[in-house]
Amino acid sequence: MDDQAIIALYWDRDEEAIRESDASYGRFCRRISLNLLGSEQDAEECVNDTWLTAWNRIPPVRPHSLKAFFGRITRDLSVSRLRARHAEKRDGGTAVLLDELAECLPARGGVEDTVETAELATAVSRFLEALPAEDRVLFVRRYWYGDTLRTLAEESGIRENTLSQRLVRLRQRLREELRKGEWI
Amino acid sequence: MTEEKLFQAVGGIPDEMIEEADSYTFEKKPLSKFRLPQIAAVLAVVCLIGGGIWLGTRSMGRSNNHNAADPVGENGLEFQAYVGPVLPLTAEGNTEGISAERSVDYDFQDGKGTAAKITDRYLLTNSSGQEQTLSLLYPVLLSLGDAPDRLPAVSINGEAADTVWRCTDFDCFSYGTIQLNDGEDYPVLNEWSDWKSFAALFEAAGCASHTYAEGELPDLPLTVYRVRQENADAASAAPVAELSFFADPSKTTFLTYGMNGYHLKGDSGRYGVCSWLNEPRSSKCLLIVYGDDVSDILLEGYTDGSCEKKSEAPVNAVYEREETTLQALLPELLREWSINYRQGVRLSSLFFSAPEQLLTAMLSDLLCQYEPLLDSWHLNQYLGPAFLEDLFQKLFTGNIYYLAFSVTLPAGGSAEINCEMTRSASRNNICRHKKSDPPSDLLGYDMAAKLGSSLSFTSLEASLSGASRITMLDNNFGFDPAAGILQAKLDPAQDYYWMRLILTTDSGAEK
Repeated sequence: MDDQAIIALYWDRDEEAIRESDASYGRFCRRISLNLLGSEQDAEECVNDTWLTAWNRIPPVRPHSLKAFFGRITRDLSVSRLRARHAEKRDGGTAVLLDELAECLPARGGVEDTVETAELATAVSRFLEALPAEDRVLFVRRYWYGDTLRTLAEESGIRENTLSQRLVRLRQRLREELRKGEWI
Repeated sequence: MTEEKLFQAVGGIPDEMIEEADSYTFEKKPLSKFRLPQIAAVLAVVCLIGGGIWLGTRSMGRSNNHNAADPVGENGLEFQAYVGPVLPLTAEGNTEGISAERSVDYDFQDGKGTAAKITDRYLLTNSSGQEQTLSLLYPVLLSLGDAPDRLPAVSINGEAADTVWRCTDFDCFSYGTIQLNDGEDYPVLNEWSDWKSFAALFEAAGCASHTYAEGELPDLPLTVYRVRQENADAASAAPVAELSFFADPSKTTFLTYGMNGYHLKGDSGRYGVCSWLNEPRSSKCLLIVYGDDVSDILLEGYTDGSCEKKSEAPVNAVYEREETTLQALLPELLREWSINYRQGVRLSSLFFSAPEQLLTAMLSDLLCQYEPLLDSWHLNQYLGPAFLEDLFQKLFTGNIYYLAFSVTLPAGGSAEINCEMTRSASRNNICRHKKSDPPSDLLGYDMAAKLGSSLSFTSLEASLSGASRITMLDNNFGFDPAAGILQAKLDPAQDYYWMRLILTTDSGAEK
């Protein structure tokens, strides 16, 4: 079933929308959640919560890209679950991603906490737009999808060490961009 | 700002980027799940069990894609341990009016093991009406762990040239090593095992324009705690000394040198670094602190390496605090590390003859890759406590080095440049399962005629010496040792020449 038909089911409040969503995007969402949470059971629950959240948001929302829409919800839910699960103890794949991204930020001083995340997202998007496609994809696959270096290495044919160095440079460049934009 | 805020911001990227990342097809072929060293190890075992499978036929191993006229195919030589071709001399700056005649000799009599002695000769002629001074660069694939004779000896008109080593940026071109079943390390180009991929990378990297001979280390302020034995003969003292302290990992990066790693001391929030006092890894045991200093330092004795059981005996060590910089500390530790390396690994290697300013520049280049991590003020998986020792080890990553020298050619004059070196062969470590597989002791030598060179070559020749030690399987030089053809005139416009052979004894029996 195509995206427009699935969205139409949500608008018609037809519960078939959830079954069709799971059939089309369940695997995609499970991968994201599993990457972040490292637990199949938690990932399964997050994906189920994704359909519920989507049910509550559509209508009035009419997503431009259903895949990205579901993926975002899954990612947000997974991070929230991780935060709740490990309020004190940092664990799972996300902790590693946060560690890596922290390199783009200074540890002390810097911007006010009141800076809007959406504006920061625009700055990050601008940075990504300027990258060659392969670099952009590697960055998004690592920090949006939470793919492991090993997964990326196997898929891209780039050795893990080379890949990790490449990501180091991308993070360094992002930090420079954020510095130029006075985010840090 | 926190990293979580940034993580959320990454979550807000446009839908198109999310879709693009999911549907993107990488151009490179996927890596095998089994890495080359693993394959080599497995095949080495199979080889041992099989015991000398290839003893008979001399027939050429050919891939299905190759034909009799071009047995190696468009990829050129392909080997598990592909060491790359002999590369041509090049020059920086204007070379107008300069022509070059080149001849390359492969001497199997004077080589060691599977290596051949290569003499790469050039006759440079200045046909312009004025004197010209050329800045020449002779490229060679090397690792600092290689034997000293791998470094080309360059002479100009019979006199040793005054050469300067240069290294190519590590992110431009570097390779690792593979240990084959003869126990020796062989260089392996990153993901490339054939000429075609090598040439593509070499050109893309533009190696000659990314070289350096000198560089400065960053002047980062550090606090160093040196732990040392108080009495060398205190046999009744605790065998392990642990330095424990409080540190805020968000404000402090700590590294060690010569210590046995670090550990968190339960839920106390204290970190500990330890060293065996009777068998220290190094004569220098350091805790190196970058950022906020550590606090509440304790030096205690333990009976075990994991520092779980406190010793009742006194600890036979003291610690001293000093403030220094990375710029001052790193050369000291590199010198210390090289002593351990010489004792533990290899008595003789290029590392010991590399100029100190080049090593400093290489460390600086490597550190640039880690600078974001150092600046992030926290320890993570990329920056373990033994980071500095790992960094020194990385100096041995193979790379394309250049020997830079200059020569002055009077108007109408010429100069003869000789570059002599020993080079290992490219080789496999596979068993022969069927007749079409290449013999396991097949060796490959190849040569680039013009790759990466700005010189204009008017003639190119090649010759074989010590041919009684080899059985030539095939080549595109035009050699035929069996028929006594040991010299070949080559086309300088053709970029690639190769030969595949098997070493034999002088009597002609197989090795």
